[in-house]
Amino acid sequence: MKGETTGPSDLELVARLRPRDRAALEALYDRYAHCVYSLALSIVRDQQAAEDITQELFIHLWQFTHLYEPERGAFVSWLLRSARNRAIDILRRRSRDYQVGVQFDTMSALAQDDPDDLVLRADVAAGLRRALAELDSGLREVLELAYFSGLTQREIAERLGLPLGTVKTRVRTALRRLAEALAGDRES
Amino acid sequence: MTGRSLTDHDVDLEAYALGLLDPEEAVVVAQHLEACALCRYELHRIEETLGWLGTAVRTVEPPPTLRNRVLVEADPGDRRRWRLAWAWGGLAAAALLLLGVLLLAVTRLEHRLDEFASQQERIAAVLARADWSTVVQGEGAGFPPEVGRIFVDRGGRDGLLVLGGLERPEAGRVYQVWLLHADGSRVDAGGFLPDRAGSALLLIEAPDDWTRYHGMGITIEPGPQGSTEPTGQRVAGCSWDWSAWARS
Repeated sequence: MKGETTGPSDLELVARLRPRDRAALEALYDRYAHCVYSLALSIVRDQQAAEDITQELFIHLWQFTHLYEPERGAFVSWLLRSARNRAIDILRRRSRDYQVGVQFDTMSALAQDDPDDLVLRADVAAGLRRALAELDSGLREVLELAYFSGLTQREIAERLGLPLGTVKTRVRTALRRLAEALAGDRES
Repeated sequence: MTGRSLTDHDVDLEAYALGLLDPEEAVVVAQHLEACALCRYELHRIEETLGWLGTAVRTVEPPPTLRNRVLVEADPGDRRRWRLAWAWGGLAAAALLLLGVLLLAVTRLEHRLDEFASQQERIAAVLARADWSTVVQGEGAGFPPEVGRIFVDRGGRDGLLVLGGLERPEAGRVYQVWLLHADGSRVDAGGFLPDRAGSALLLIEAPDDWTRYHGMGITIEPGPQGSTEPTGQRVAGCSWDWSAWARS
């Protein structure tokens, strides 16, 4: 991650938010705003809404720095989980304006010579993309609907014409494989 | 640990973390998590995976103007303004009331099916995001020591109040929920009637972030609209200390 190789770590920057260090906020924004914005845009498909989500998330972090608990995982993971939650909320409040057909991007390499991509913990993110690419299409299709669409498991089952139990099993299996891939990358 | 090994812990944590469960299922998982450190650990692992999944999307740069908007809003003076807001909590509460930014929904069987389905999704989503909960204690005569639990997303405004063991108030009166500021001022969070079993499941969208409130109280008020400020005896409630939590 850029923060660990070219400057203060994410943890250090988050700690500096507490005494209201604006430079730390700027650094975190520069590292992760494009990640937050990209994810939000993938879900809501609305530039203004994606901007609002990004703005609200960073302001919220600024106001409540203790919301991120390091023992619960990497900062970028927490940030993007929060972004997804906000984006899915917006989808569901738009009277079931669900987004289907959104797919994970497993092709874009997190090139080391791309300054933007250095902001991510490249080995973990790349490992995750590899694991995603290795999922069979049935698992991946269900996971993409579960992650991006705002549909419930029952609605996913209806949309795909699958038994509810199959959808549950596929969501669980897909996430377990990804979690195992993440754990493997960290141990290696 | 790469997988759960105890079958009696076989709750659907993945769907819970994604907000995909029906509310009844989500409540069961939330209650299990309260008591199960193993599953809490596993949930954290799943949540982190979900977070990393957010990196696997096509990168789009936000407009350059957005950076400036964020930094302007995070002006150094904002902390002083927040302090003033705390000091003038009563005014803030009144302003919030004027704004009328309040949503309360009560899931009841007689709801129309579409409303019910939508509500179920929201409840499941709130439970999935809730990262903190506390017991709601009975305080009125005849109430059990514990009447339920409130689940909140400390980073947001959504909360779920799960109540049981409530007597139905006398005709023409309703239970009313109040969110409490540190200075003791209260914000109306809506009224409700329990079902025949004495249970209620209330989705609360607080007017402001949960970190602005230090407790919750329930009173009995004239129905069906309730009161603009508490007039009846407080029968249940709870309090919390975010500052202690922030230091922990």
